[in-house]
Amino acid sequence: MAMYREIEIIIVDDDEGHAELIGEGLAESGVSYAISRFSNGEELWTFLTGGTVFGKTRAADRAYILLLDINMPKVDGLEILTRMKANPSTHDIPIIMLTTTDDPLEIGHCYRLGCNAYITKPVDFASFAETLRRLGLFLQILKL
Amino acid sequence: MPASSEILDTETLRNKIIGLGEKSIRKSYYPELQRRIDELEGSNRRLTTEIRERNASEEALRETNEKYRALFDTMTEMVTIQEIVRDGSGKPVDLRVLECNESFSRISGIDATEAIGQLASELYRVSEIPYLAEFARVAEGGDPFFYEEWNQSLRRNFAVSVVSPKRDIVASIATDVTDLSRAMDMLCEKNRELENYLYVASHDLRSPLVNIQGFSARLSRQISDIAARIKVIKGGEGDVGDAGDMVELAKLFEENIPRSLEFILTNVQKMDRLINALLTVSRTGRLTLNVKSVDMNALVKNVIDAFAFQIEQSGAKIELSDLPPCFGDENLLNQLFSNLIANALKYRDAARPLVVTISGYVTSRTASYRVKDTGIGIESKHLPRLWDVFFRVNWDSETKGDGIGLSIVKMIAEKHQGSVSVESTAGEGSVFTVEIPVVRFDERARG
Repeated sequence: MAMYREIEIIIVDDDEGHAELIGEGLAESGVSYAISRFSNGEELWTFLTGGTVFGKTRAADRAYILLLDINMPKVDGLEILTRMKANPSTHDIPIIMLTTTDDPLEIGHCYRLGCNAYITKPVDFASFAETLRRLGLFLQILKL
Repeated sequence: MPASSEILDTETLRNKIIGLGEKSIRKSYYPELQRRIDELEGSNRRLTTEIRERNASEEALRETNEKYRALFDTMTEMVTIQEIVRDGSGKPVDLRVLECNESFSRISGIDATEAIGQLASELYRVSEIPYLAEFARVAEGGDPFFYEEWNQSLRRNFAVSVVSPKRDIVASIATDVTDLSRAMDMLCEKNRELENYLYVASHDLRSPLVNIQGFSARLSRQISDIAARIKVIKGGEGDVGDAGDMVELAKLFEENIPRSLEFILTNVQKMDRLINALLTVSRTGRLTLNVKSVDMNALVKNVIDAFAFQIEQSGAKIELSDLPPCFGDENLLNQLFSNLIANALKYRDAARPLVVTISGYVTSRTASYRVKDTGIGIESKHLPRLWDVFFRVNWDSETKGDGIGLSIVKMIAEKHQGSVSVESTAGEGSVFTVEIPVVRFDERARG
């Protein structure tokens, strides 16, 4: 029998405002999963590989979904994507790129590295809220 | 005089032959003779005029020929006139040079005496004549043909137009477009840089804008929330509701609204910083250089003195060797070296003492200056984007910058018709090499 695992969304974004707006937008669309945030790839990587960051440790009975920004200090989104896909313990975690970059080369690069989806943060708040709402609905039907 | 006696003799002779004497005037056949004389004199006049006209037109033709020959030879374009050579079946197989101008000889190094009469295949030592089919088509009355070719032995680019002055003859006019092609390449490169610059700038400006819009929307919701609660309080619907609403109102005023405002203001400041940085870059780009001979020893010493505090604080050691002078704008070169030294100090490795070595040498037309540090170095994957505006390899509170330092370094070096390059090993340090002309130059005459 498949084990039921609680889902947690991890937002990795160095911009505190963006992270807060994303969390809020998802909650408003009805996402009821726990949401946590790291501000760069280094913190995320420590967490994913078993370390403790801000008192949080990766739990075996939880399924994680990543919302990953690209331009971040220390370890950036592309580096994290590369590391996660190469490591068996992080290989299966779904990764959704959520970034302001809409450069087609960058998008292609992320897909080649193995991201599951790529979403551009729209500047216009109405579109941004709509994007998050759809993402929230998508996350709710996602089976992990 | 022999001439007049000759005329007299001829006159007498003519009178004798046609029997024109004083007495003959009365004779009946006189009008007939007179008519013939008039006729002969008329044709004589016509012949004289014709000869004069022919001489004049021959002279004019010679002048025109000379004019065109002079034009042909003084043209900067290489011109050759060639004849299509055909095999037994009439198939074009080669070209024979009939004429060439001085530019042809000057640029190709082939003398006219050597070229004229030769087969193109022998002259250029090729087994197959490029574009021969097109040449033949033009020679058979087709439209003129244009092509561009890179001449490997002359290392130059030519734009060639092929026309046919008459059947089976083609003239090819080759214009040297090497400089034009280079200018074009440079323009394309500048264009790419500009596009990238715009892309990066707009992208970086978008990020704070997402926050400003998002938190403004939140602020607007919070205000509606306040309005709704005030309405409830005014209506006075029950004590419990009032107390709860008051707590919520206090929270909105004391926590939520200030938080939204803080996000908005922080991001407005962030946008302001970015726009100021863009203006700095743009201003540097538009500055007119005040070019003169620059004592680089004095200049770099000034820069180091300006960083005395940071150098002391970081315990860095600066090793400065004798630097050659160069030509450039003192203020901008000061800015360039300030940016490089500031970076060296900023990106030092906490694990070891920082040593910055500044040295220089001269190679033919340029002075090279090396700024070498024992800092954290740069990972090779970051090198291609290093000079991009707003690009920062790593940013946190300690190394806060606008991300325009190196793009300004590059811009200043290029404004000096020089260049800047970097070699770096992560964990070991970086070497920045700046090349600046050692001769006076004109900012407008590039390349």
